[in-house]
Amino acid sequence: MINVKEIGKDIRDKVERIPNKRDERVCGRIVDSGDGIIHISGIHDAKYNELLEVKGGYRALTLNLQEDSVGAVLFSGEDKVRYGDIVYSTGETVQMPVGEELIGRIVDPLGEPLDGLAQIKTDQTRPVEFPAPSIMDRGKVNKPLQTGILAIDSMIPIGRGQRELIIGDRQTGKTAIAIDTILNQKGEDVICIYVSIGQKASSLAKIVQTLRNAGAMEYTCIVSSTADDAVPLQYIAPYSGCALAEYFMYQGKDVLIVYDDLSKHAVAYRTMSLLLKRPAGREAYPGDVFYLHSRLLERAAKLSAEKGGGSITALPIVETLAGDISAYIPTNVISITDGQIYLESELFNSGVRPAVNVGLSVSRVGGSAQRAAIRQISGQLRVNLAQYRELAIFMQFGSDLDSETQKTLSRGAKMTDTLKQRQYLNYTVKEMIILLTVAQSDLADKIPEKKMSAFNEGLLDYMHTNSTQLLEEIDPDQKLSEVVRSKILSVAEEYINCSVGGDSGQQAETEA
Amino acid sequence: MKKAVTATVTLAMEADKDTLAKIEKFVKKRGARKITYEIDENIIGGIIIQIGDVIFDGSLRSRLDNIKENV
Repeated sequence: MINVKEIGKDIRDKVERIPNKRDERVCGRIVDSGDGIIHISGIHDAKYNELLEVKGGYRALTLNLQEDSVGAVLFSGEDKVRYGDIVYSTGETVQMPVGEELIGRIVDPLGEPLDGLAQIKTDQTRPVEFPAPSIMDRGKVNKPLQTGILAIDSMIPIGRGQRELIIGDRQTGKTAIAIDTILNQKGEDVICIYVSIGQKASSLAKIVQTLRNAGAMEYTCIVSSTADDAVPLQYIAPYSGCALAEYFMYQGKDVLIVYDDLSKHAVAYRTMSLLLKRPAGREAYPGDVFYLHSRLLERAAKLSAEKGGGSITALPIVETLAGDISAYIPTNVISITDGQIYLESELFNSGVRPAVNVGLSVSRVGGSAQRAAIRQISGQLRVNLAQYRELAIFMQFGSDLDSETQKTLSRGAKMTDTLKQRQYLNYTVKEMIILLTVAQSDLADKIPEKKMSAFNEGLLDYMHTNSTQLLEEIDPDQKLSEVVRSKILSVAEEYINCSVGGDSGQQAETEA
Repeated sequence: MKKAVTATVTLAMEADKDTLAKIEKFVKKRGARKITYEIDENIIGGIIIQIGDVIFDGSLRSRLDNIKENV
């Protein structure tokens, strides 16, 4: 039986607990509205970046404070507000709800759920705009953030608290690298935040599906603003995501945040600036577009031990047009970040995936955070690869080659093959050590060219089944001892001997 | 900017003398010199006073809206 009295009491209690809104409020009236921009007369005490409440429950953000009016951008309802509508000031800047409850959820930049699940119950909020940690609060980047991608972890290592730009044309696998990195944080005690800025809703749906299937949503939050969201929402999305990241960082946790992507963010800001009639600069971006991104990325940091030692690692993504990294936004973000991973469509189309251009990619701080064993064996990698590429270009002239050159070329090709990696197939640190050790040893000469990728996969399988003890002996935090190295090589040799025969046998079978 | 001269008082119905005196006292204290009265049944009950760009919303309508938003 439903107890009517009790329900009545419940409702009464609930209504009583609703706080009465402040009775005294400052208000103004809309005198101009268009393209999501409103001008308000009144509101004498308006602040910059203050949240306004328009009649009908719509929210707006003040961006221009002028002598006789206030310019603001609407988060929603741009076709619903009317001339003369009352606008209330709230006295607050934009706040993002934060807390553990947001992990596993998809929210919009104001913290409203988009995944159709329950309202997010958290009473904690953080201001969306927040000053970056001061110099004294920062510590040294000393812990690696493993992406699970061999080419990156060996040559362009990323440390926790670093800001590493992922840059490249469309369709070069920028997002794939970011997603792979998120997937690789499983069990690593890193909270991941994926901020989508002006992305296609369909691409985002795919990403969500990938993360769900891999169980990565257990430690991931998605802050989403899609291409059809109001421009101001796209504008604050990265700051909201960062506010959430800061909440965890100041609790001493490690956070990875992906901004996908900052070129669309700059475009959103340009739209607003032009509509607010701010003067346009290069490529029609406003004068403060550099500050737009620098103040965002400065908030990614590694805190000192006294401040809890938490960190925010930022992976901003920037899309270039026709490989032009000297355009305005790419050069800006390159100069702000601690390095970049440069992806090339030419490499991508020729099958080198991830399409990392090793020559143009750098990491300015991650090296000191690299695991000792990886640092030891990948020290020569960059130089060797550069040498190989130089030779490979030379070889196109078709001159006769001596055996030494041929060897360098074939080694280089095999190394390049080793660095190829399928999407969602992340290597552990130990696997990386094995692959790099073998590919750089004389054993590599015994492996037929073009078979390198298959060999690597087979080798790792073989190792996992037949030599688990050796795997345990490998200590990524120590330099690789000569004993362990020779053990790895002897197992690899064992595998070559049995697989080369086995492989051809298999081939004969299938052909028959 | 605070040049509040005129106060607009919105009521749901005609008020008695005592209430009007109270309103007048309240409004004068906040620097308004002229008062205009409006009757608007839509606010259901209570009172809304606007002085310059400061608004005091004590209407039943906004209370109800608030409850509607929060339940």
